[in-house]
Amino acid sequence: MTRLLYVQGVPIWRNVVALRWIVQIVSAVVVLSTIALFLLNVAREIEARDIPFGFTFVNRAAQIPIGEAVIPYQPSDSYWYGLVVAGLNTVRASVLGVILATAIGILVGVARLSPNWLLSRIALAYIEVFRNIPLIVQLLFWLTIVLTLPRVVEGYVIADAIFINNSGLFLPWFEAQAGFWPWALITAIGVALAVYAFRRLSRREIETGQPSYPLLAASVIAVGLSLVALLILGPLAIDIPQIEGRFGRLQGGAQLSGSFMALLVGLVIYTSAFIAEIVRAGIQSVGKGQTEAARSVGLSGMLTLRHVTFPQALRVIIPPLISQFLNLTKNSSLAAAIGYPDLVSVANTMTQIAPAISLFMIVMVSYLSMSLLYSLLGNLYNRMIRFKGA
Amino acid sequence: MGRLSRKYLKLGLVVVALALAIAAIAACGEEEAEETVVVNRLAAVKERGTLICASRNDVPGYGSLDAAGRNVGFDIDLCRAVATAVLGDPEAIQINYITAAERGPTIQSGEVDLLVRTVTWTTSRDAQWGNYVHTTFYDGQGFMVPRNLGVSSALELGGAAVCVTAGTTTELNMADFFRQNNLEYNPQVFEDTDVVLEAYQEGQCDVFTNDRSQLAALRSALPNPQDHVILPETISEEPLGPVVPHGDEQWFDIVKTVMSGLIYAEAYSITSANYAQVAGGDNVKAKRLLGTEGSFGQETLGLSETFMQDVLRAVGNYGEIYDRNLGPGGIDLPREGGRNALWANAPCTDCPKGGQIYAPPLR
Amino acid sequence: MTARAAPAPLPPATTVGLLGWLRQNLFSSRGNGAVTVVLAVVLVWFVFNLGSWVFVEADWTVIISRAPLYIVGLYPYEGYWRLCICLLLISVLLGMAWRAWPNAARRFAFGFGAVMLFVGVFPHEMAPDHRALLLLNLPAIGLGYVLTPRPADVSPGRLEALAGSALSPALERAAIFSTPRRKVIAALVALVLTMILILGIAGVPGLDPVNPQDLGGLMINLLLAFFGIVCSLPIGIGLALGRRSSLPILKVACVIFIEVIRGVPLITLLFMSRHILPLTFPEDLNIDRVYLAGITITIFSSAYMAENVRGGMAAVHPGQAEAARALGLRDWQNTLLITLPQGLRNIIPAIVGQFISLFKDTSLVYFIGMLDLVEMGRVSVQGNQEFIDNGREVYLFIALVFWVFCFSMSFISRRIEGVLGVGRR
Repeated sequence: MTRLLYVQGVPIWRNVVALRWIVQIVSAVVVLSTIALFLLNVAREIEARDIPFGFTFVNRAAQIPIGEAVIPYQPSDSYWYGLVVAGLNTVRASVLGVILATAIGILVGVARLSPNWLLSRIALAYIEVFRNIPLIVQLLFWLTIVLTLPRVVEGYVIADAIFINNSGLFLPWFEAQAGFWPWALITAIGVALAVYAFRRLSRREIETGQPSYPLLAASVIAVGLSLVALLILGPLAIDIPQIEGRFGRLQGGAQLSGSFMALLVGLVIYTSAFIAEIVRAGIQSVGKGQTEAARSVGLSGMLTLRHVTFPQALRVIIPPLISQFLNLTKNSSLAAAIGYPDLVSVANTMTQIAPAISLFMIVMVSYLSMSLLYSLLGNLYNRMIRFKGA
Repeated sequence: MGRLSRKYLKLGLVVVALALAIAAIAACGEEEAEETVVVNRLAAVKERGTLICASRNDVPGYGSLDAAGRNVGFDIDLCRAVATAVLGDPEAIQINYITAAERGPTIQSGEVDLLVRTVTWTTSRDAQWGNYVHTTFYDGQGFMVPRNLGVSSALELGGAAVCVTAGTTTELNMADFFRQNNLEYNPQVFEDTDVVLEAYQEGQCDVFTNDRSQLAALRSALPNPQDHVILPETISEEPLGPVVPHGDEQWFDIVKTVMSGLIYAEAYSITSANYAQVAGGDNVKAKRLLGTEGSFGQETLGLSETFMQDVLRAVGNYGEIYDRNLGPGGIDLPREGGRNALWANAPCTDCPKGGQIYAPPLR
Repeated sequence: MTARAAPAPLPPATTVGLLGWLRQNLFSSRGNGAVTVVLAVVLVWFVFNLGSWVFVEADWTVIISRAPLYIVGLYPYEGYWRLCICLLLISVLLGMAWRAWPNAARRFAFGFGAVMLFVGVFPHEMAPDHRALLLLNLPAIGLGYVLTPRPADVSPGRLEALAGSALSPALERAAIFSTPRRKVIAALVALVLTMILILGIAGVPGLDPVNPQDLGGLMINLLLAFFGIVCSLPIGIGLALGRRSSLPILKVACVIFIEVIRGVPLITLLFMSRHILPLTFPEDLNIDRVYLAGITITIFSSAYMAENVRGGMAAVHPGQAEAARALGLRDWQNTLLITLPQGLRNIIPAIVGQFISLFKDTSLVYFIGMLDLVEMGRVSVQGNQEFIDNGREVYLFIALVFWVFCFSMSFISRRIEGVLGVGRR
């Protein structure tokens, strides 16, 4: 019998492979049974205490109001649809927030390194003030600022089409007409051409060292093509917001509500303070020798930044940047405090009449999938730079 | 002994592992399942020495913190009344602050003894959350608008931006009302009352909807109260009262009896000032309430014979609690002529009558 | 911040002195000058408006009349003296830190002492004994300073030089916290004493237990952040090692745990911990929500900590591991004795950074009904009609408090970074 415990003459308790397997199995048992114990306990208690739980409610009519929606929403729609609407609100805030925060973060980060003492000190103050105060406090502050704007009827009007007041920002927006899809196709082709031209010209710039304005050329191609097609096909009508009704509220166009503005400003400023520090550290991580070398081969300041400093800094910048994007998305869950109907806020309202625990599970899974998306982007990027570096 | 045997070894180990895991899970599950949940809340509260109430701290008059950090308010006093009845000490309370979204899970899990947090009694909550004990305050939802808008009825509110606090039935009632009447509207939902009030004052919204009692209180806090009107429509019923967890009849009855006792005491003009004299007086009903003669079921409930004396000494009767928190001593809501006055033929001479606050006979 | 006027008159006035500095840093080119002017105008306008609001328009009663609530929450008044003693212990530690790492901790000790002096003297309603206990913090800092020996690489301070050799033997004898071990023991003793003083012990006169639920205000923010960081460090290390491990099941479990916790907002975790965690315990084990919050924050923080540790370990040069292997160290020895310690050294600034963000995140515990600083401010405004218009004052005050703490911590972090030379390699 004892022979069974020997593998190739080595006793099993000294066999590395077997040991590893034993450790694995023990850890698996521990992990699995902990999880199972946890779930079973919870399930049993939920049953024992009659705590409402389950997901049958999602198809019932929600009968709750949602203040703003990207896609049309009625209170008679289902919970499921209501959560989608709320999720899209979260996505809207986080996508816009990510773009703006990155832009402002880069500006502030570069300003931080500016030779102008006042500018660099103000950038420093901006960073140190905004990243050291809890976001919830900042959001409430920005809401107060938005509320001090004039009300709709006394608000600022630009060119009879853009309205700025304490209900938010109202812009003319487009309505798709018959020729929309052909136009979209042409625009897409234009964008593809522009990308091609951008790469081509960039490469020439790198090879010759002469500025060949790739960004300018690319934007001319894309915008020009799209505009020409727009004039020929006429696919879009413009919907201008107008003041209507006895309460003088604005209807039509694109509306960015006051709460949304406050949320966006708060998220952008808070996150951009972190991004600025990341950008600063990234730029500083590029050795001084690199800049000097670029200068010595005759590259101008702008070209040095674009082709030497930035590409190298990006490797340092991108990974923490993506985790900031993730933070911004998660932080948008504070929107409830200032009246923006994001996922958490709407789920909170729904708990009035639907099982809270199920709702919060849905919310957690939604955030989780968003963050996995970010992780995916980060991994893709990492793979990309590794490939190039190899 | 080669590759093959190692493969079998691995396979065997995996099988053993899975078996172990399943066994562990099954064992745990079985062991846990044998426990049965028996709750005797009265005994639990007495053993603990404190009464745990879920309430709030952010609504003036109902539940808030004073400058010394003491919990005060109408809801808090109801909690103190129950604590006094059961433990003899109005300070033997622990207030768990909960958000609106937490009310359901908190009372369902039974982690608190009492939920007194301006909870509207609705049938689905009664079925899902816990047992509603007694309506201690009748409210209804209304609208407040600036006078200069010239609105005289809620039916004229089509196209308005409406401010509302999040996470309460207020929000749902508002949706129902506008949908029912085919009115367009733009909801602005905020978490905090002060933010709603600011948004309303700054004109981000035209209308402020809330429980009428809240609206009245907030209106009086505005710089020029006469510039704002509360519209006549009441769009919902909001009976508020304490809730106890499901599954303990005795506890349900105890809280119900304490609430009835408070109202009964007011109806028979027994106050914190005069209960000692009344206890030795000749009013039979009053003596029964105060435990000096006869009984109304104290023993069955596991309460002391004279618990109402303790309660009255600690917090006073319903009218006193109301006056201190919601009436002249608090946020100054009128009671006379409203639904929160005592029922029409209450025997006391000087208390407000004609309302719906009613206690069953105590005997 | 501003340049000192140089004494030498020889170079032209446009390159030295205030004028030269201005020219070099603010007006080096026309565009630069324009930027400077615009920014200066905006800055002055902003400061003026803020100042006139703070000093003229704002009504600070909502803060002043309820000051203790913001600091310690509903902690019973009879126990305030215990908290004052905790402060004294912290002062002693600060004094020690000041002596041991003058660069990093001196300003912090000064700042703390200044705040204590201000609160102790500033005329407001406070019992004289509490006032005296607060003022005692100043000698307590000095005590900590004296009890610690001067590090070898720090030159003697001016005061010490003045006192000369007469005092130095006495100072040396007084310096009992001479070894790192003694310092750690002192810190641990102070920590345990602090916890005992704050929570109390049943049956000991004067140390009546305090309901953990009554802990609140700034105190609970600090306690939660501190314990969150301390407890999350070992868990984080474990998770990081698990994630680096070659055992697939363990690795996958750690990865899933880390990514799930990092992927959801803290408020949803808090909600779940409030309503799901109690269900996993037996019915009679009713844990207080303070501990629930602590557990949740620790779990939340440990996922981030794991990523920090992993990053720190990845930054250790692979040559280290190779050298260890060449010396015949086993894999686990290599990890525990070579890679991990160096990795941890790498992440000290990251840990401080995480402490800062955790400290800010503790303001979310309002979600499970705890009265932290932010929630206390909210409640003061919401629950009292006379303060319904004072939201701005309250939030400005809260912002200032958080800012002071976070900023001083990031300041320390930068100093530590300098001391360790983390950024330089």
